[in-house]
Amino acid sequence: MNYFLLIWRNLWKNALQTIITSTIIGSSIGLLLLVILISNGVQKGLVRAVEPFDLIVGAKGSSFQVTLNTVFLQDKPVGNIDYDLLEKLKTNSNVQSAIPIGFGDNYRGYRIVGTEKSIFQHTVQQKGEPWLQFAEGRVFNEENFEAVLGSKVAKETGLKVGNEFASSHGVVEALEEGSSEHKENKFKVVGVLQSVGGPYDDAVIVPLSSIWRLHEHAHSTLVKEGAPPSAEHEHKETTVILVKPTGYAEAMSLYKEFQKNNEAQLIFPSQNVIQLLQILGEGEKILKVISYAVLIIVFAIIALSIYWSNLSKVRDRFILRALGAGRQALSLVAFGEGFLQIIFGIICGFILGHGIYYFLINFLEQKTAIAFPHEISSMEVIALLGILTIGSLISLVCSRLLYSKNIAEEI
Amino acid sequence: MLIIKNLKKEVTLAEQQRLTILLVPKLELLDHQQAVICGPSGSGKTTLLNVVAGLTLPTEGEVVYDEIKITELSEEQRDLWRAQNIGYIFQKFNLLEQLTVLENIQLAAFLAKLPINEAINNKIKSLIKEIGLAEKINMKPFALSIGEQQRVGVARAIITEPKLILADEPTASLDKENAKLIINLLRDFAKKSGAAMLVSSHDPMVIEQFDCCFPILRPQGGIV
Repeated sequence: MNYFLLIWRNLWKNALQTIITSTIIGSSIGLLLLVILISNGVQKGLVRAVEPFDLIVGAKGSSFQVTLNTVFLQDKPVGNIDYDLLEKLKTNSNVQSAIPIGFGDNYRGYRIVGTEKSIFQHTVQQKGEPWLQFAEGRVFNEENFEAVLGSKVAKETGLKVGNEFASSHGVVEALEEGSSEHKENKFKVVGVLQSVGGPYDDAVIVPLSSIWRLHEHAHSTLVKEGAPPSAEHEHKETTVILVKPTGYAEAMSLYKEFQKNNEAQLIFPSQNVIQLLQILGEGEKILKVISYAVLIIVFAIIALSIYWSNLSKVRDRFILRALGAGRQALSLVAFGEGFLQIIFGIICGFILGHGIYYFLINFLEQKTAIAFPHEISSMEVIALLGILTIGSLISLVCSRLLYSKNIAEEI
Repeated sequence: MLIIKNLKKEVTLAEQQRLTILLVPKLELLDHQQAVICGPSGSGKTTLLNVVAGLTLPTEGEVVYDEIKITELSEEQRDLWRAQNIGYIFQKFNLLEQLTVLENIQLAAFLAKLPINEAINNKIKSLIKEIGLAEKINMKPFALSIGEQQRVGVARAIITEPKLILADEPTASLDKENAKLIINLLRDFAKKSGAAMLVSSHDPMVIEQFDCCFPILRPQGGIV
């Protein structure tokens, strides 16, 4: 026998009340945690996805669309730019590296990304290691129809090194009118990448020159939004150029240079992501306010639950007093009941919040290929500790108030 | 020895309106003595037992037990004194519904700060056997009859080997047969352990079993 057993038994004496109270507390905590998890996950997921893209040079138009298309492999390309620009950028003293990227085709809905070998040496600034690393196989030969698969493509299509496949015209499988397979030139899988934790897990990386060759007779569609780059009459094109500047000041100089350019624009994709996060942040603020309001109701429920529970225990309290339990002991039991309900609520809320988030990110990852991290953030820990502290204080105050009167006198 | 002198208990009904609910000019209970407090309903028998147990304080007068002035102890001191020296049995609903027979008795030992070890558990088990409820040791009160519940109440009252057993109308909810059983059980246990016993009752069948009876009358007068 100990106080914990007594508290435990008291809670399960009114099991329905305990379950309802814990569920209400848990649902509210779950909602708050979900908001925190989504906010943290989206922020980290987007930032991680944009990390490899220092600067993008693309056709004039919506910079958001260029970022969405290049970084997140969403939406259609704005248009194509001259491949000559790549040569000019490579000789620019402000540029450390420039890599062409061309879009326009897909394989079963997975985007075909036309580029050059140099992309496999491209490093992520913060990590200093190559962005695209091989799980198996090798780099493609630019003269052949060879492909390197993103980890998710390999996993979900079942394609292996040595297999062949035919790409289709258009960036979206079957949904785009005029989508048709390039059966005449099949790609051979020569490598599979490790997961990059971002949209490029959904990419099929091929030589840009192979896309040119596939579309030699499609020049008439060039001006059309979303058309693949071509090389008709020695006029080579690419969709965007991934540029790594030599430094921040050099990036700004490049930006100024491109302000005078009528055909192409220089984009800081991280700025687009920040803008996106700011827009999302407004929604997040509203959700947080709702969560805090719900939490205030939860704290009121905790107080009422302790009060109701003890109102129905006048006889129990009298028996305990007659057996020698002091007011402190009774107060401890009432506090323990409130505290345990908060703990149940926190466990319930944690499971609920993380459970919903787990299913949500699985769904979002399928749709966007952005890897949303599933981790316990410091904000989450602070929120849970805050709830525990405030809830405990409320339990303490309620239990002290309840036992400020002498039960024998009350009876 | 329990000595009660000039005990008066008043309750406040409304602002400046007080009602006297208990008047006991003198009462002395010797060590090992078994006595009954008899009186009509509303005479203050339960209040007297609560005052003796230190659950509530009188408006006037004093309660002394073995030279300790109970009425002058702090509430915390009275709580501990009660846990270690008093065995209390109520009229009905003696037990905590959420605890088993074993746990209800363990609770009294725990609150008296006795170590809950094998020795005390064996003592509790043997006591439960003595009251004929060995097979119901792990049952909760709702599975017991009123008589059985009252027997567990008796066992719980004596597990701490109190010096004084207080029983507030312990037979009020029982039939004749069970009432007799409970009174005999209480008297036997008190005799064996050497505890003094004060039982309140207005049942002639109970009163006639005790040699000593302290009559309590309903306080005269109305609201002050």
